[in-house]
Amino acid sequence: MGDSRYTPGNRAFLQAILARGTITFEEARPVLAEIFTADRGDDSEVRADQVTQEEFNDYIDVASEAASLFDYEIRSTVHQVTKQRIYALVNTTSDPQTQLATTYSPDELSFIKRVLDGMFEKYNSPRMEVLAIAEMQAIKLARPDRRQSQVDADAQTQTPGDKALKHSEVENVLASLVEGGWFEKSEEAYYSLSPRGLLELRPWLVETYNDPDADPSEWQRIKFCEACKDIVTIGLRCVEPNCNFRLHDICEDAFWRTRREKKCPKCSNAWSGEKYTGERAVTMTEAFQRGRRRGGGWQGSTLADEAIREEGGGEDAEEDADDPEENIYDDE
Amino acid sequence: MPPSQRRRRPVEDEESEEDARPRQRRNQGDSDAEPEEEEEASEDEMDVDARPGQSADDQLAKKLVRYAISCEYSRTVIRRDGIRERVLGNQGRSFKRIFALAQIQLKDVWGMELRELPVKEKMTLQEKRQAMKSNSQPKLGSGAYILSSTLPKAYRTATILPPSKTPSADDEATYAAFYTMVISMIWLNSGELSDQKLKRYLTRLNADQNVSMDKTEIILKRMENQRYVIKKTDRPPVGQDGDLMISWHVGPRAKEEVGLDGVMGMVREVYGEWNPDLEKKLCSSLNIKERTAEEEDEVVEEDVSRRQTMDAE
Repeated sequence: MGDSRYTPGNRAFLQAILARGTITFEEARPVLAEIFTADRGDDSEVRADQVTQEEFNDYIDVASEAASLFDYEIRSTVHQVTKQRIYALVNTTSDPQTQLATTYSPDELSFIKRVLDGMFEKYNSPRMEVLAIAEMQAIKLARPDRRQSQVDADAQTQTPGDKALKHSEVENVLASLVEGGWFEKSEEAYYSLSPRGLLELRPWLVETYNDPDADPSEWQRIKFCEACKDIVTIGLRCVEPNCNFRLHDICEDAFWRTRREKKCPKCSNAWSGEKYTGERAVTMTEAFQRGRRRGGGWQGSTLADEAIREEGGGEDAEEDADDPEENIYDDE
Repeated sequence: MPPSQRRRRPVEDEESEEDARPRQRRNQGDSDAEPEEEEEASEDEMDVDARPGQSADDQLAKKLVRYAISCEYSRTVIRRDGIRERVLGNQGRSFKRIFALAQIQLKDVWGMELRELPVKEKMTLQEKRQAMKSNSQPKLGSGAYILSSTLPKAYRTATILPPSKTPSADDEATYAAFYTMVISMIWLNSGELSDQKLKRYLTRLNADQNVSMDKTEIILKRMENQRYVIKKTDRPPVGQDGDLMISWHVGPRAKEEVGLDGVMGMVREVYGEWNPDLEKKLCSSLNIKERTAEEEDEVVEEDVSRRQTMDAE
């Protein structure tokens, strides 16, 4: 790189992002302040509040350009709930296993794949797009699904050697995915993909869970916000179960402001604003609310499963309602 | 083979090293085949031009950089063999050239470089004798590398480079602290620490059973795997009674990443108040000569920041 603009400060910033995985403007300000201080090399100090958005953008651009030579890239997205813009260093050529990095064992990786399948297949149906997984539901996925692996010719992730994880291992993996910034855990103990996870896995999610030959009117597993075009895993949906029209909560107001009437532009049904994508698809149901009033809390996925069953949402929620204990502990 | 032809050799642009694994496994299989033949065969089957401005060499160097970064992520030692197998494939003979190019890219763009780990020392008399007997040529390099920061020290601060988030910033920081301490204890005991003594130290630190995130045993195992420490088990001579002798030694990664400077920095930090007398004691414990005051200052800062940088990677 003969570019004279590329300084030690740029290298330091790239390393700063590499170490963090993601960075926001707020997080970057003290970092850039220190870099600018080091650039000056004298005793004067740059304060974090002196770092401007422009300077930040400039450093992000330079870092992204440099990283792109190595098939990495800095992508940004807005958090679906907090509305904060997040920048992530993304590996642009890879599969989900390596994207989630290599500190996981093969068994753990295949468990993670099962959890992703849980989020995007099992708990994601036209009637109920949870796109998240309750802790107890994830624990039930500790054991590889033998039946499925037999049917599944695609042996890439379901190798015969797959072993079940112990209860404690499942908890560790989930906790480390949250700590590492791949998953987020909600107050109701639902795990969903974090902005970083979505950025990194976006192409893979679409490729894996959506049907490229499907008719535009057909329901798809991965859907995008009509306003900002990013993936929606937490947001609002059209009342028509098979319609693909989705909006983020944070995009809703701006979107309708430009329209004359609140009707789904795809299927013309009236927009209720009370149909949800994400864990609220479960937690806002009558059954769930009733259960919680009874004092159930989140404690059972049983509650979540019950809510899903009542709504007719789970494709096969019934079949694995067997005792999870038995599944988890008898291995090894 | 004319060099021009070699240059033209394409590299599958989009192929990441992960994708390449199955293919390389195959390569491993025919490793006995004549290298010459292999090269020619590949020449025929691939005839796409590399991207403009990115020669085939650049592509390979890029792969090497990616490989190094992903290895360091999990503190997997980057081996020459691994590079040959996973990055160079059938172009193993271009190692030197590609490696040099990758070093330039690493330094220019990432502010890092690959540093070769020291060769494993012969630790026991027996090993030394055996080495003499076998009469083999001493290996020149260990063929194992770790990624290290080349940033000027002003940039190596905890604000810029926090502990990696893998698996979590807290665990990562704890782990770095723990291995630095264990390594310091070994180093201060002339590079060899008996298992009993280590356990005694750890008990005093209330770390004999657990280290915040895991069992001590597991952490020590990990340190061994990542070559921070070497655990040696000596059996009593045949025909004699006695227990197994377990001793701990400083591993090659520790020598490169933590180093003497890291150990000295750790000791000074722990003691807090420092004076020339302590410095003398420290130096004699480590069996080194004293340094000048200026050098020391540099060393302390450098050492702290180096650890942080390593974590960042």
